[in-house]
Amino acid sequence: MLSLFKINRKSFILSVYFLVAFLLTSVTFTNVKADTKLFNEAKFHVETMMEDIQFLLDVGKTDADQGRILLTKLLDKYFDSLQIAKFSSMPAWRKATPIEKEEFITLFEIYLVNLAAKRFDEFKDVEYIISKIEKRGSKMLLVDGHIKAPGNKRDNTQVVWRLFLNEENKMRIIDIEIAKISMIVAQNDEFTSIIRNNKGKFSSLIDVLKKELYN
Amino acid sequence: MQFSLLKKILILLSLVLFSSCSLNNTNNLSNAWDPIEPVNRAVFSFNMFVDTYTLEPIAKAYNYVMPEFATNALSNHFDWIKTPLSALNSLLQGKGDEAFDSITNFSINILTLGFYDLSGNKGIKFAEDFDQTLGVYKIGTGPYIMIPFLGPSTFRGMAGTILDGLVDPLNLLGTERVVRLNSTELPIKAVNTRAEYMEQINDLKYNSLDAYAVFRSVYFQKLQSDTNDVLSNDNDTDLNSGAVDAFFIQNQ
Repeated sequence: MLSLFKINRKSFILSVYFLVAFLLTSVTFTNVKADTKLFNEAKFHVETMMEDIQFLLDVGKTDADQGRILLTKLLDKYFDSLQIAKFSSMPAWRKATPIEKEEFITLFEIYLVNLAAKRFDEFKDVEYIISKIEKRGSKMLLVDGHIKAPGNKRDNTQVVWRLFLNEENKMRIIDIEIAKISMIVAQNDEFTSIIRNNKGKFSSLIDVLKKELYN
Repeated sequence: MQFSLLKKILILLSLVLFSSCSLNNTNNLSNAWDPIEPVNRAVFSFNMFVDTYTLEPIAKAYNYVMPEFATNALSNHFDWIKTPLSALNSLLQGKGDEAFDSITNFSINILTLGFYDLSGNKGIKFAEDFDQTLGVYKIGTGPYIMIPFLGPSTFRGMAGTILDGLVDPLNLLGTERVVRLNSTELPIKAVNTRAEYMEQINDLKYNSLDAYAVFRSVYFQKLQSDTNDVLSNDNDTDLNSGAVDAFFIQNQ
């Protein structure tokens, strides 16, 4: 076969090596380029969100209702409440009926807005400095940084944002780690405990949320 | 005296043995093992009652009266007083550089008794204890236990506290002085810490659906990250992330 094209064996092997090396370099280069794009996207996502939070806190100071509307929009734009709801209630989520899931998501979104309204105060009048961005798996990114607020107790507090590429390939936040405490892990522990203490019924979590939100 | 020491060592050994033999039968993300949850919940309710009617109002008044620099100075002092113990534990955990930095900071700040940081290393505080050291040597936490008035701990945590008390270099001052020092400082430290973390503690206490579960989660996450800083050699972004990553990837 090789003699047919008048190529000797040595040249053939060398050509194959070059081809493989070229392909590998191209793949690596493409991956690096894709990663850089993702990193920039993640950085932009967090930075613009921090600006929006400052604006939201300013508005909220004078007009609480308008602040709440903005907060709902902000959560929709930057966070993936469906994923957060799902991960917060695992493993019970898997056993929940479609109606229960739907009801839970609706309640959880309201609960999340209430929670965010209280927790975003952490970022009042502070600067967030990004120190590094890491990729975890194919869909997850960690934006690591700290709060800069000289003279404030919160100065130097480490804050990590966990971002996730959702099904529509949009980047959304699914977790915040403040001083190495993951909010979603704490949320999951809380929900799991509620379900476990109510004979494993997913509906008990819905009842507790309803009681919290409407009573 | 000798009997008391022997008793302490026996308690310590049994706690360590129990912790190391225990299977971590956990069913939550923060790996908390809570076999006596009903008892712990009762003690937690009692502690919250005490907090609501004594510690929290005192801490609020304290925050109102004390200027922030004074609160910070006291916090610095309480950190400073534990620095020799922290240095010893850093050494046992194989963190030689950290031990050296701790001793240097301690020596420089003797001049101010730690109330003001002269070392220029603001923000660099090491708080290593025997609980973490035992964790570094792969001894399990053992069951979670809520102690009346003192708050959350584990069997390993209790063993660590006893060890800390036994080997604290401050003991060189003499037992009587150390007891007097601790009994004076403990209430002030409790109020100062409660005042310092007022927003965070109140957020967990009043904004949770199940405050007990959230406090337990935060306790174990903190414990895990404090221990993991030695076990993971690289400069990982966040130390609990291994478990969290696995959780997300598995559930995708």
